[in-house]
Amino acid sequence: MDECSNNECRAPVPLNVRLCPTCGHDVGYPNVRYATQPAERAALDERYRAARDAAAKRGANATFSGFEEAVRTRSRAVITVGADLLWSLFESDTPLYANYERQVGAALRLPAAPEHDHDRCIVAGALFGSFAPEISYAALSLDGKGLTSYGRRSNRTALCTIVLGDFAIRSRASLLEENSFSFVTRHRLSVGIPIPAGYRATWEDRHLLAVAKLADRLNPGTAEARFSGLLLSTEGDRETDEFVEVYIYGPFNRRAIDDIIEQVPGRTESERIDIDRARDTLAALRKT
Amino acid sequence: MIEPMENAFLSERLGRAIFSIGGRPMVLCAEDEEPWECSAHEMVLMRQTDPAMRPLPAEDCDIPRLRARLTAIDRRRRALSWLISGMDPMLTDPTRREAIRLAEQALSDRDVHRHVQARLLGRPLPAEADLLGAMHLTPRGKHMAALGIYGWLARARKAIGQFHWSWAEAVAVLKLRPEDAESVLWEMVDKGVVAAMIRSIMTGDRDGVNVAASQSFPAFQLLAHVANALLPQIRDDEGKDTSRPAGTIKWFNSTKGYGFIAPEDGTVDVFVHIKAVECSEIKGQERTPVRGRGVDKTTAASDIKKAGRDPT
Repeated sequence: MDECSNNECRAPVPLNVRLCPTCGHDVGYPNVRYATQPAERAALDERYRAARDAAAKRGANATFSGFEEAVRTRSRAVITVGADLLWSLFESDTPLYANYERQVGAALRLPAAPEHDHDRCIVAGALFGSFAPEISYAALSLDGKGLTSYGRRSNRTALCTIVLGDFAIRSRASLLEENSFSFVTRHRLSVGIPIPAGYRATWEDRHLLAVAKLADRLNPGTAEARFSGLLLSTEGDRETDEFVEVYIYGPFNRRAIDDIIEQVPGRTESERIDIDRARDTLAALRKT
Repeated sequence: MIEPMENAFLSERLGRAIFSIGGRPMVLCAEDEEPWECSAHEMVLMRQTDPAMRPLPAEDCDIPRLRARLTAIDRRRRALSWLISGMDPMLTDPTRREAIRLAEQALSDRDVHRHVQARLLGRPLPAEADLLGAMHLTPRGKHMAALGIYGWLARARKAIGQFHWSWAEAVAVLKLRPEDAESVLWEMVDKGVVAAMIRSIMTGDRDGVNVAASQSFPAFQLLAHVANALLPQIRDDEGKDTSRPAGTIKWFNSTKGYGFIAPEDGTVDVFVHIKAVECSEIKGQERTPVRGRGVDKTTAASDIKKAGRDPT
């Protein structure tokens, strides 16, 4: 339970709501507030210190610092999308990127196959409870490349990564150190089992989470060029994807997008023009 | 044995069809290889998302036909999107040129052409739409449908604005719910009724406005209001239109089937052919124009325009 940040109110506010139920004051995004709880921060700091000490013992201090700095300064939240969805996002300021729950709820897409749909609901419910429909999922990336196992209807279609601007997500993004599905499975999260502390972070602390997770793979000889692949590795299979997951509260439109990376090039004229139009629009928006 | 498809509905807006096979609710999109099974709840949601979703006749209720219709919808949607991109000043010239080229290819399909033109004429263009640029970028070739549509749009901007002002006024007067009016408007746009009315406004054809409005079931009352609001504007425009003068029949040879009208403004006589007279409102009153008979704007305008000026 938090306390309302309105000085005139100061009423208790549950962690999983955004508006104070007493005065309506915006107390912040619930996913971010979960990540800033003292116990969560303390556990993350503890994991970070342990990772740093272990790296020092292996003589990997410089690599550790280099990786931490790279993540702190260069890592971005990325989402992979097909060419048609990419263009539909860029057509005007009106379209919003809608997450799975919103798309299903608005009958804009079908739910995944029943067994996957149930799993998704269980995982989202375990991590976010009633505000799960507000959360969009992204991955943390150093080179702008995203997960090729998401975002397209078939492996014959183009795939692009949208890179979200820091300004657009800084206050509303939180992170989990791995894919939420594998996290919930690995920690056997279920009724009555709380989320273990130390695996979540705010956007500003993403480097702490990344090094806490990956320090044991950082050796004195690890080249900087390998940092991107360490932070996010994908071979098009969700089972084997490795990444830090980013949770963004609320929808966003095209102005939140900072870059477009063509990960699997368009093969048809229709796909290529969709990508070109989105890129041109992005370039024009940057000038304004 | 393959079970028959039942209760099929097609949504142009969502680009998908919903139906049931053996009591199981299914969905089919243009890009799907096979239909997907969905829940009854999702089927209800889809029906709510697109109230204009219409039941399909029994003869269209099979997967190949449905896929063909959905593919046609997808082709129309893409062609419209490409043509709009051709006018988008945020895009670079090479991208706009390529979008117009793709649109041009798609417009060779008559159904796509009709739909795209109806859609573009039926809605106001955004202020930033760069029509002149689009016309400049349109590749020149044998088939210049895109150029034709851009040309229409350039000429129709004022008429489109007039139509939508009158529509908004009629919606307010009839106290319709905006979402209902919007749904009716889309239906009228896709039927080509709005485009027909706009063409009539542009040509000053009051009959055309009335005819389009009268053919627009179930929006007859709404469009009758719109037509009433538009007709005085058309008359005003006619008053300023020097190519459509009033005058007096100077002479008319009913054997040869032509004659001349002396315009009121004293300018050169206007040639008029019997076919034009037959098309006009004189028809039904007197089969042959009589010398010295005054013809006002409303009587003779269309005759004179069709006949053209006396070459002498």
